[in-house]
Amino acid sequence: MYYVEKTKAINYFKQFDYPLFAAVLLLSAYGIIALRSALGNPGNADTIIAGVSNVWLKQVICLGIGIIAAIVISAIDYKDFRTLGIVLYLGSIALLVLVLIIGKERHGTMGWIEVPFIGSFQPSELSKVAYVVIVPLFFERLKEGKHTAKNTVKLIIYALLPIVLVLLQPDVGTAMVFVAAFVVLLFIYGIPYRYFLAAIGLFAAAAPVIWLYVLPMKRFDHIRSRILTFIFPENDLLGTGLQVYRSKATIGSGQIYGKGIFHGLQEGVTSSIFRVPENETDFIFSVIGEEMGFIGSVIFVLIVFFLLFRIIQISLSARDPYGSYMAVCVAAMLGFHFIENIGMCIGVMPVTGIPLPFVSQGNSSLIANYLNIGIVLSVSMRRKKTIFNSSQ
Amino acid sequence: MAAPGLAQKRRLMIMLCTFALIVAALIARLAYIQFVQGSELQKKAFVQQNSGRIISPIRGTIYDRNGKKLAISVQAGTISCNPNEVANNKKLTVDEVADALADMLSLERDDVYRLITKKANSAIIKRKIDKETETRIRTWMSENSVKGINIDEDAKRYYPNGNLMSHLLGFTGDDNQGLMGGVEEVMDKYLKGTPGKILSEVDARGGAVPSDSEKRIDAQDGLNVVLTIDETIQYLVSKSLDKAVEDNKVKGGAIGIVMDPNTGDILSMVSKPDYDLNTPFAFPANIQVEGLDPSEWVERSNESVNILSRTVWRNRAITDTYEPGSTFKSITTAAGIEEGVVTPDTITDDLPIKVTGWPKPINCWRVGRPHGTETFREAVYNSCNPAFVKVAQSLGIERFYSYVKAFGFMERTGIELKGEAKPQFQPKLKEIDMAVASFGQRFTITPLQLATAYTALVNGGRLMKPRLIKELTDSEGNVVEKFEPQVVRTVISEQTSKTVRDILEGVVGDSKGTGNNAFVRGYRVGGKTGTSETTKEDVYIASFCGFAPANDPQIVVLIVLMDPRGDSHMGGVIAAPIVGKIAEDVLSYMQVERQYTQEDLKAMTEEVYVPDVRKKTVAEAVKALKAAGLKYSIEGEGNNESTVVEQTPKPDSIVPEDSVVLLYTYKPESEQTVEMPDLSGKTLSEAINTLNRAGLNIKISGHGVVYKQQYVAGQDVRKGSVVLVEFRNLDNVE
Repeated sequence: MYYVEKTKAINYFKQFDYPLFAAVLLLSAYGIIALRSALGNPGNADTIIAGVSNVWLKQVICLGIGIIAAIVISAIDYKDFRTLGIVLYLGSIALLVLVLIIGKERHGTMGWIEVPFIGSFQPSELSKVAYVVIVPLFFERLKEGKHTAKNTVKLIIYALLPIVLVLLQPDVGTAMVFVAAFVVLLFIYGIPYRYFLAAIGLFAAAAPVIWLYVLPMKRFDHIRSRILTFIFPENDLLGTGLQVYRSKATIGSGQIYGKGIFHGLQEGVTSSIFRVPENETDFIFSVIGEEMGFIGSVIFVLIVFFLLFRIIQISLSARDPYGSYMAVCVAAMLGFHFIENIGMCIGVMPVTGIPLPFVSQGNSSLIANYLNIGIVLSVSMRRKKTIFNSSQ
Repeated sequence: MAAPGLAQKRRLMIMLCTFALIVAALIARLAYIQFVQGSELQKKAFVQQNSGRIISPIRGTIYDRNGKKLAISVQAGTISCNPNEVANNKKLTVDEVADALADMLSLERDDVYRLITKKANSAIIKRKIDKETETRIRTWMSENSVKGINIDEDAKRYYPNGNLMSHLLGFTGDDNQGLMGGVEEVMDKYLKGTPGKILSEVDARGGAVPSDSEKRIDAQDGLNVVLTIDETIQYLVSKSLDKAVEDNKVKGGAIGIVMDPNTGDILSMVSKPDYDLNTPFAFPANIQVEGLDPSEWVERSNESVNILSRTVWRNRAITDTYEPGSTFKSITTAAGIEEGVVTPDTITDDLPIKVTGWPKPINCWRVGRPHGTETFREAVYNSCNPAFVKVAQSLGIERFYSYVKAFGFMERTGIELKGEAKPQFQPKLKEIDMAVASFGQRFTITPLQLATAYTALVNGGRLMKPRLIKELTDSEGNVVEKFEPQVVRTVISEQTSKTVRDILEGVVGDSKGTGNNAFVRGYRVGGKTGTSETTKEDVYIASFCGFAPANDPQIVVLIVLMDPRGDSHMGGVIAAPIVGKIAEDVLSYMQVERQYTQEDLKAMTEEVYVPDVRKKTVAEAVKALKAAGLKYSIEGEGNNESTVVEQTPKPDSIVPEDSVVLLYTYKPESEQTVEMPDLSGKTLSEAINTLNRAGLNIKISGHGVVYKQQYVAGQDVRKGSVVLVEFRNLDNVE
């Protein structure tokens, strides 16, 4: 026993996926710098330590928590998530229901629960972790051909429930993240291409109906207006069109080298005329574009690509389908976040309120992303090449 | 367990390729925005093009009522660079540019080098450079056709008077915005003006700005603010307060306010301790705070800012409230006379009086030997508390407080400064509250409120709103907006005001009045003393509120000394003479003519100038001295024909009649000295006699008994010298 324990301990450091973790830390570094710049020098009311905004400080603390959480999770063999996952999933569903009852509204979404001492907490972020743990489990069971009918029904219920609940908030952005992850999992699972083509055809046919009958509903009318703004940005120069316009202008002004860290006009919340609205959360990429220029932005995008590449690589060589699907699920979620968020900042995607992972201000989101990275790390450390070692 | 199958591997590769394609697309889009569209966006949204290239407007000047400058903006340039362009200079290398700039701007060469090679479109090298340096740099730039260096106009604030107006003006922050609740902040929206912009076109890579393509939108300068303050009066009050703080060891701060009762104009408002507006964050050397060490002072740290806000930054004239004490009795007097419950000749007394809701009877301040039966006029002269309690009781709570309210004590004055404190009264006003309020206790007000109420008291009954801002002018001096004096309400009749002035003039003018120490020959000062207790034991506030001339008041002067620790803490002893001195200085500065009484003229003829008798014969000298009404004494050998070599006192000294002038017929090798006698407690004639016997002459200041003598008793003083002796009325002075 003693011998096995010791071997495991040595293996932990040997097997740890350093490249993956380094990529995540680099993105976090971007986040901490850009956020400091976006928040600027706080007023006295907003600071415990002179010159440092509380919001920023809290984000740094959450980053620390996230890093530790990821390391702890990576040490657990992910096979245990098969049983633990259901607890997490049910807990997250309970919170998603709770938020609809006692939640706090921000930007038209009932997405936050106020917790004493800690502040506010976003259950939909936790449910992203639950989704990663639970949905791949059913794909694995289907893959192994066990009780196909029963598991298909279960899969559909488990995968749809969080989507329905976040749509009730309504948080369309997060719902789209779940849908994207689900679709990618279906694709990787091996659904024949013709079904995808059929689905696309069906969607195209349904689009006019949705546009005319579903989106005009009061709950969803902001989605319709955002799509309209995306197509005709100049029509809404006071709302999201302004955000995109200023975001583009700001990134453009960064040019090749940028204006230098902390030297952008985005610095600080006081100079409101220059500011891209919400530049500390959803539009934080505009700060990176302005202050670090083309070079800084491209390096950022390349790190993102490396991260996705690495996770897919892990999925390819995972020990079992469960690990493989979990990695795919994380890659799909993160990929969707990155592409959609950067895309909207540079005006190639409609505005959806989803954050830039590891960078945007948002404590729940930051920790949830690190939990998912922890899961991927766990999968990575127990890949096929390590089977020989661990079965000693 | 099964590893991913071949089909799944293929699909994962498809997923990866999709990501790769999307990432490539994002990068392409970024390149498009930052290179191609970038320059176009920059033309459209000039905000992004011109970071750091905004022309600051010149902040308006603040003037006093006579057009003297109190706060000015000095033109100062900001020098910035465009690193991309600096590298493209043909004549000079980047190193040479760095060397030259570092030399001209007195900066570290490496710092300059770092800035001009920075990977950015623009960097600020130095702010607020002076005109001379700016000219040097411009010359150097044109001589070497330097590109990539820009000089933009900016301004820095300068206060020519340093400490003099610290609380009235406040200072400005780094972005030239007004702070501290003073005129700089309150009038900020007028003073600041509108910024202009320099638009220069920059291409995608941030290079090449041909200087001739610079377009500019000029800045619009701020308006000037003209105050009602008179710089000279402010200076006189400030000096008097500095002296008073030192003489009386005042620990809790001092306040001086001078107002024009006819318009409500604030002619001066001084609060001590103060600070230099040009270095507002510096260590406050003028105060003593326990455990405060100059070497540990960190400018702008939270702690140091805290200390400054508590002490020197505080405008006590409007932010501190205190019990006005006896100075408030004038208000009770006015209310009583206006309502006809008392006249100056009403017989009253100051025997202890019982008030409902209070166990102990209320006494006169002179507890041991009350003044007894007296007219109401005398009661005011003597400042007897019970007499005022009776007046208030005759008025009743409702009428009494309606006057307190009408004189503006229950609300803020609304002066154009931030941070004015709210007066504090008991929530439910009872009999006992009124009884003690009649002599100014159990409620607190700001010094400004009291001075403002005195305007109504002496100007014929109109309560004026204190006016600090007179007008706004543009850069050419045209008046843009005028702020007229405002009458808040009429409180008492012309006749009552006249009677009150008459009584209060007696408080000062009558040799037995408690305010006698404010007496100024010819300027008819009236007023009321005040000595207030505070919630802390042995901490007193000495004050005096006066006005002059009594027949046609031109000024109201309030002096408040908080926590004096000198020989006396009585308002009549330490605050009254300051008001007298300020009234005299201010009225003679305003060229108000003196109105001498017979008594004044008599007293004045008793003083003579010492004639110059040197180089005359003794006989001639004696004749001249006799003609001037002086006595003489000859020192040394000689007869009537001998020549006077030296005299003491010196020519043109002012001495009382019959003083002795010493005539020396030889050049005294060592001057004769005499021992200074102790004069303390002596009356005027006793003091003159004692000094003359000792061979000394006197210079008199004040009246009453000797309060201070120029030389301590026992000191050797040159024989025949003029000794300054201060007299104060110490007997019946509250």
